[in-house]
Amino acid sequence: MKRLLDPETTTGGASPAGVLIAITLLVFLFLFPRMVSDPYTLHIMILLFLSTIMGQSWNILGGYTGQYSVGHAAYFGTGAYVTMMLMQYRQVPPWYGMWAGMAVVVAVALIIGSICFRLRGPYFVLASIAVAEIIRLSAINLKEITNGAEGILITEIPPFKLGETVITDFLTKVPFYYIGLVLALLTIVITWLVQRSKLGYYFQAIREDQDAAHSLGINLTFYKNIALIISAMLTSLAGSFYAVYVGFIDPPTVLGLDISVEIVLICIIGGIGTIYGPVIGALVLVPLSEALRSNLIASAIFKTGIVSEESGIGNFLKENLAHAHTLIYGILVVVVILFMPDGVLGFFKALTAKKHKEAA
Amino acid sequence: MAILEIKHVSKFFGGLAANSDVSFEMEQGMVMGLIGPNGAGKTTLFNCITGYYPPSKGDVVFDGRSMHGLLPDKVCKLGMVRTWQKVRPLAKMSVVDNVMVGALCRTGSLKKARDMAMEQIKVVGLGQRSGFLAGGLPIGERKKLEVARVLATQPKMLLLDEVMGGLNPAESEEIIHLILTIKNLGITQMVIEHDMKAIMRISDRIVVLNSGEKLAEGTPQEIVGNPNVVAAYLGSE
Amino acid sequence: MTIFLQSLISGILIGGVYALIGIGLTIIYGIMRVINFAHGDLLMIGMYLTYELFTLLKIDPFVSIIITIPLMFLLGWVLQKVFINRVIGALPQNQILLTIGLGLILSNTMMLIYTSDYKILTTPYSSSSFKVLRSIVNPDKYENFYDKGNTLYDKALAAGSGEKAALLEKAGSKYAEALTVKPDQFRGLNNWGVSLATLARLRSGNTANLLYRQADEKFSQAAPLGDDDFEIAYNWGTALAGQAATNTGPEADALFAKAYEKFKAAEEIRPDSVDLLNIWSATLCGQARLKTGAAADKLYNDAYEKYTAARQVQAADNNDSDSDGGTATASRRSIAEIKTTLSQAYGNYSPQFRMKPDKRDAGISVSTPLAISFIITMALTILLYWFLLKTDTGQAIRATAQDREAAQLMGINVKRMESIAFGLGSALAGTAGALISPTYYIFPQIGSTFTLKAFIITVLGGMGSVVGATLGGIIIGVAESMSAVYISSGWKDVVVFVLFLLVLLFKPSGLMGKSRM
Repeated sequence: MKRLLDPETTTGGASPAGVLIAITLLVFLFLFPRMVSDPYTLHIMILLFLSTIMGQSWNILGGYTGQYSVGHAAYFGTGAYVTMMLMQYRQVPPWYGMWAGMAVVVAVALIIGSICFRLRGPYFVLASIAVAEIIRLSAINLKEITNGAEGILITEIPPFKLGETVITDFLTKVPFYYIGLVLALLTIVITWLVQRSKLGYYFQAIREDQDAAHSLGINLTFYKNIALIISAMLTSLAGSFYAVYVGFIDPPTVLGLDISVEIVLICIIGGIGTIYGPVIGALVLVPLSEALRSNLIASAIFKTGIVSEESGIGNFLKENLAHAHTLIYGILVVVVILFMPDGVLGFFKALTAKKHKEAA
Repeated sequence: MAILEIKHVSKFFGGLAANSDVSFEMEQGMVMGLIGPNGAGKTTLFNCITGYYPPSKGDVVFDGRSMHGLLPDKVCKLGMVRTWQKVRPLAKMSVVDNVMVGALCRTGSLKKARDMAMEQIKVVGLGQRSGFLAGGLPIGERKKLEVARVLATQPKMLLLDEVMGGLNPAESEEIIHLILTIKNLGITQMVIEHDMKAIMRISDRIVVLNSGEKLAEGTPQEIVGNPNVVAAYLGSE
Repeated sequence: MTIFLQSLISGILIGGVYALIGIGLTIIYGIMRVINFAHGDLLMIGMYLTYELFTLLKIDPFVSIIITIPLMFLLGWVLQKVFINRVIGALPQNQILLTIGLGLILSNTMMLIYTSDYKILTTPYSSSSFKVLRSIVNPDKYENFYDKGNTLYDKALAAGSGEKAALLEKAGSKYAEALTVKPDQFRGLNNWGVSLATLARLRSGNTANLLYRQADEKFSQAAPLGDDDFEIAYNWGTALAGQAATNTGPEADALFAKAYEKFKAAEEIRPDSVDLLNIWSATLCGQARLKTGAAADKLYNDAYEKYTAARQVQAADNNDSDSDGGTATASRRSIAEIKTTLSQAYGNYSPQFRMKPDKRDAGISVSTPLAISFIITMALTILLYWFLLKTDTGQAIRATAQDREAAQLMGINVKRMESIAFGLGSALAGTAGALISPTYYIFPQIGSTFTLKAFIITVLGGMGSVVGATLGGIIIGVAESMSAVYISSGWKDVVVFVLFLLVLLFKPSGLMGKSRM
């Protein structure tokens, strides 16, 4: 993305058309559950919101500040665990539990920051993985607190009340839809605010060149930790939301290395260090993995008639494509890194820029 | 009163002395040339002064205050900032954003920072380039960007590490003018440079380093006439 | 001491394999400055290759490395040419993500082919082991007397009542001589105690009491030397119970109580020993007979509990849970019933003492497949050193690792070195996979564990240092096995990760920091 505009337009607000599109989109998203009640569609939307939150939170630390944490599962899982443990063992409703989760995550993040931020480049990546693994193994071993490898299953969520009025009893997917939507918007707004503040400039300066940033009066440790804390808090929210929505957590599903990698992936695929990146990443990844999981792709292949459903290959596809979404993730990463290092968005921008040039 | 005092600074890496027992002083507003053959310890001295390495021995006193234990960001806040021998633009940020990062050291408001940045961009003559990505600039303009960025931090003192390195004569000439303009603003400067003609023109005084030690100090005329300096340069060639 | 040596040796053996994994990673890093996150997945591919060669072609895993090495080299070469080559010099994070992606592709492709089920490669020697270091634990002269004592004791057990006592006395004197040679041997002390206690059973009154007391003394010396030894605790308790039976009144009661403690200690070491549960139950019966009323009832109940536990263990051992299915509900029987059951069971019960077996069991146990793999590992490592130090290609690789640009100027084909390095790294990872396949479960996701281990090893040794990786591998192997024994197996990986972070923070250049390859 080469910016060749003059400074006034780079800072100026969005164009009127942009504002209009954004408002229409927002209205549409808020009215969506009134138009569509199919639980599966709502489920997909909720996953989209969740992925956006996860990707956007990582984006602040990894995309803007350039600190490639591959251990964000530590914050996701810790948030999820604290919320679930409080709900299951202490009867604390999740809308309080998630704040407790955040508080714990901030403490964890400060410890992790004090270890990892002394390191740079690949060493930082390795240390972030190591710390997340320590937390995962601890969750397995501290059976008295976390119920170990068996995980925590919640039996019911207490209804959410304001005074005596029941706002929602969480029996359908609709409340989760709205919570997810609001949280996703919240993370986007926070990222936007960060980007247009001194913080955003400092974060990007650190990403571009730590030594240069240091010489220009930027306290590296302080600003890296600020980025980490914002990022970890939002990731923790995503974890709490996921845990309550799914109703079950165990160490591999919320603390595993896969989760850390998936979080990074959302950003990489969309394009790091941009507000739209994680949204695009979620829009690519979620439908793709869901389509594979629900065998939509296999049936589509059968419909085209290339492969018959009864043939050996057909059977193989039917049985295995459902498990192939991680494989597809792998292929996506390789393709994106090799051919679109600026993400899908950057790739298409470059492509259109090229066409413009050719046309001109 | 001296604005900068280098007091018996030594820096060892393992057993090797990159600087040993270097002492000199600088007066407010002067331009000090720092010269010496490759490996004489010039950049190491810059690193010791600006907080990148703590000196192994000795102390640096800036504006009446010891720099002992201060990191570069604190040193910058106190008004002393350096540029880099190998330029370090914030490549994926625009020219104006680069300079704003410097200005943000003095203000929290983006608007103010932008105004301050634009001012410095004009001072160094990059007015036409403010919206360009820093990574895409040619070397001459990158050097100017470095200077604009450090000027935006509103320094009392600049340490310029080979700002003319790799430039053609016309570009070097522009930089010389820039250094003299900065001098007129009352900002003290220490300049590492290999181009002898240039250093003789801009410097009020010159310090010569050789193998980490201070070989000579004096006005440009004194340095030119110093047989030790001539020997050191000839010996190293 | 034995436990320490045991875990040290098994740590070093597995450490050899870890070293191989680490060396592969460090060579790749040294040449390309790329951290290979797919390293563990290459190891996993090596495991499956070995598995297929074994099941389809019946090739022994240790022999099959001859095929695995070139195949894995080829795979690495291709991966480097097609993928890694394109990110050399790119941002480190992009390199890391690319190799993570490759790892995901490798592991998930294997999952599509093999499903995520665990596969086991069973060779005839998979679970066999042998003993080493017997001479350290049993010096010759001592061993000689000890063996004689054991032979005499065995003879005594087989002999008629006339000769028995004499043989036992002779056995005892042999043990006494053995112990004067080396006084701190718990096996000798245990067997001496056993022969004294067996003799005591043949005697009565004061003589018996005296012999029991001597046996008690031997066991009390043996116990602290034996490091939680089950046999010693069991024998000691049994001897005390025997002594209690020859006494009466409060003395008997005190001895019973002391025996109880020993059984409890033995139970902690091995909770599922039928012999222990039986003698314990019988002892509790004996103690109950000294008492009346509620105290007696309680002891009978306790005894019955041990009795049922013993039956349950037996049932489980025989693998048919139905045979004694009634025991669980039968626990509410009346005291009278319990008494009858117990007296039937233990009326003529004469518990066997447990000798410490002869010298064949002494020493440190070494798993055969691990030992073979260690030898192969060492041979390969030496071969690798030779290759890097003495051959032209090896020297070119080292030159490239030290200074890429200088190497290029000297006419070294750096691109070719990179492919060789990745092929070599991949071959080493695959070989490590082949070597551990007889002892580990094989499944597609096993890679990530080893990837993380490989990083820890290389960072510990110093990125790019082959000597460091060798050392690092052994250190991590020992740290794992030590923490599994002295902390707990669940926390052993945590210990390793903490060690890793400490090294990163305090000695980021690793043990062999500056030296490269």
